[in-house]
Amino acid sequence: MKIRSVGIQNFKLMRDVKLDFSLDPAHPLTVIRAENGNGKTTLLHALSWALYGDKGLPAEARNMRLLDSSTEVGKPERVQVRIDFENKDSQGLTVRYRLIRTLEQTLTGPDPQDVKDGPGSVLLYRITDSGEDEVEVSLIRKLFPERLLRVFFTDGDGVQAFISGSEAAVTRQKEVHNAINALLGLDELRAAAANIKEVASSKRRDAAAAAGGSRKAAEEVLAARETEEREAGERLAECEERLANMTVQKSAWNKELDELRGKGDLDEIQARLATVRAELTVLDAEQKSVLKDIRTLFESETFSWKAMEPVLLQGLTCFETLVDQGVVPGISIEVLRDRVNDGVCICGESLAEHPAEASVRRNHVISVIEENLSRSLESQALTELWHRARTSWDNESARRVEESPENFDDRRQALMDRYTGKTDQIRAKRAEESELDQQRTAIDEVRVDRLRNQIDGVEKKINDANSERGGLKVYFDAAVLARESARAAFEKAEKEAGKSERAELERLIAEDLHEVASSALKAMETEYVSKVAEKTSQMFLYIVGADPEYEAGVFTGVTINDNFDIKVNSRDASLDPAFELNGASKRALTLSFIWSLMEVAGSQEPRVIDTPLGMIAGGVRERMVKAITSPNNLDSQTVLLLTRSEIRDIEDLLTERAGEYWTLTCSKDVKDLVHPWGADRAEVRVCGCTHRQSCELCARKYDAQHGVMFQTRGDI
Amino acid sequence: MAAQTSYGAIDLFMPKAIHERVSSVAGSGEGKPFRRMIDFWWAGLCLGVRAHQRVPMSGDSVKFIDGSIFASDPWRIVHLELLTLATEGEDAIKSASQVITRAQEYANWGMERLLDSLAGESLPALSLLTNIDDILADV
Repeated sequence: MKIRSVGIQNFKLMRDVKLDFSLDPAHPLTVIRAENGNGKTTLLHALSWALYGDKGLPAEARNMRLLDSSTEVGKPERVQVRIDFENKDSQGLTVRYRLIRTLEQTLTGPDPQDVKDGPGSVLLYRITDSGEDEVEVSLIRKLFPERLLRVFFTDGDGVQAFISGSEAAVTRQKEVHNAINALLGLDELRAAAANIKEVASSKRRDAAAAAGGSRKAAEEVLAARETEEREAGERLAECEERLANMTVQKSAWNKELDELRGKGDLDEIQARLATVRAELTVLDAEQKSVLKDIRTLFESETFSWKAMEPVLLQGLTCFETLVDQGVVPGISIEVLRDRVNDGVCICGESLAEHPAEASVRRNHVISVIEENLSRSLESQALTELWHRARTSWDNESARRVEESPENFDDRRQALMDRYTGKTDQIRAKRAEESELDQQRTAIDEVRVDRLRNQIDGVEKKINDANSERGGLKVYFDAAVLARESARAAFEKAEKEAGKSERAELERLIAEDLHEVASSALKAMETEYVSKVAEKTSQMFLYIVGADPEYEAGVFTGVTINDNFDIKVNSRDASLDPAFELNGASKRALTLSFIWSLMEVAGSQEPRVIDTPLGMIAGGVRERMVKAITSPNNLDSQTVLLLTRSEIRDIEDLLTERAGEYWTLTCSKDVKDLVHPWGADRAEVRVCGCTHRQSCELCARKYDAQHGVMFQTRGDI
Repeated sequence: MAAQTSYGAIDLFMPKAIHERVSSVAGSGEGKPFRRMIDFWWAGLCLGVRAHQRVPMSGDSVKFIDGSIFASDPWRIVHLELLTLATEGEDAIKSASQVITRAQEYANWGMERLLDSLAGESLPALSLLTNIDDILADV
């Protein structure tokens, strides 16, 4: 089976995109180059939607708009995807088909769920030389089994999750089992075995009816018990499947929530923002306090001394001259009075009334006071000024000693340091506030709330389902015991009642056939699984570059056990792929399994993989591309959707393997595009540039880093 | 050395042109370097004295406070009289009026320089603190 071409209209940002795929067996690869956000995933979804409808879309995208969000609200638009493909019939002849899925949608609001579906259709045509003949759409389900959606159309993360999903072993076993059954056709054999079992039951009833009343009654009881057991088993299986689906869904929502929370927990960010803003308020107040202190400094005496010191000192010198001239007394009257009252002279000698020496000094000081008092009031005022001026200078001098740095220069420096310190702290806090604000803005609060509600809801349903499963299991186990008891009663009645020869013979044949079919099914499963495991092992070891003979090597092979669980073997133990392989090895293991399974099954379905090389580099990248694009007997087709980064270092290999190349470009990337092209609304367009080329439509500013050469294209 | 009480009776003036601009550097409001007009006037006086530059009062002038303000900061009278003694001699300090007149002339010169140097600053207080050495050196 090969996809010949695809045409997409109004699917997301793809308003009119047409692509052809390589049909050349010698070059089975189609390379579609696109940067992130430029249509790779949209193309993948468009293909799987066309083939599988809503089931082809990720669970979280169902019931959402397929139209671009900028589509006019209230205006119906037609979404259409056309896939031309070809398939070889049982005679080996190539038959061409055209699948067209159409759906009319009308946006009703801004949210993704605000959409109303109108009329839709799915049409499948067989294309012949004489035209198109409509054929049953159900053929699609046979050609592209729904269970293999994730095998045929997947992306790098999906590839990894196929084997190492968060639900680990149980999910992995289920995926592997489903893939093996669907691809190897074992489901059909299983259905045949079930049919034969029904026939055997019918024959047994016939035999019982022929054998007589008690045996017939025992058979009826047995048949009733078998029915009860089957129905109980079906209900249990349905419950378990529902439980598994809900668990997977919960896991997907949790992953999305974790990604959103990875940007920061909203409550925590709000709390941190409040704290930072409170701290900012304090810092602002402290900074204002510095400004107030600056004002205080500029109204201080020390500022006056700082600014006018030469002139003020000159004034003091003038005073000293006046003192020397006797115009101004050297000592203040007030000071002298204080000395006389204290009885101690400025020089330390006694000024007491006794003894005589002290009395002489005392009288001298008193005479000086009286002499000064006899001077003019102006002279007294001058004396007071002289003393106040000296005090002022003495105080300023005291401020300038190191132990008391209260002078203008020291206070000024301290204020500048304080202000600078506060400014730095405020700047750092503002940056923190801005970063938190951006984090808060980045979180889609509505989506977080919705996810929380959805997870809460599904958790409740999972709990309910678990309880239900417990009850159903008890009921099922009781039904098994009842059936076993009924069978024992039937066999006893059978012996007693004798046998109807012909009916009994038919019953035995039918039961033998059922045994044969069951054994064949088991044998095929075992054989196929063994073959798949062997090929998977070879391919995986090749891709990861492991040598099983190398003593110090890590990987020695891959096995798939009876429970369909894949294990990677190391020298001394088996490794759990989910937890003990790195991302690149997980992808290598999954692709090896898928490719091996398809080879064993002879499957020719195309494989379309979006961004498969994201976490893979070096030799592993090259060997992986070699392995999955190798021309083979199956004539299969591979489509890789790659970014420029993924293409780097494997350009020659792609040239060797690819038969078709396309480049998708979205108009929104105006900052990266060399020639931004106008569009009223964002749109993805396609050009025929290979991975080594660029043109007016797709050229990017960093193309030179990837060795991409610009060329003018006439067809743009 | 006029009696201190005699200063209380003297009004202080500044040119009207300066008074119209004074709100940018003095008064309430963050970032202004001077809490009161007297502080601004004193800083202007300091600059004028430092530069030995005076501008006699002429044209319109505005009384912004009276001399009683000196009672709260007695050191200001000491400094006023010291600078008068240094620049004008012993006799000049006998008249409070003469001391203040001289001081106003110094202040007139300095206030204008201050306003010019702080014009356009969003935080004049910080600017003056940062540049005071340069301002004093340049005059």
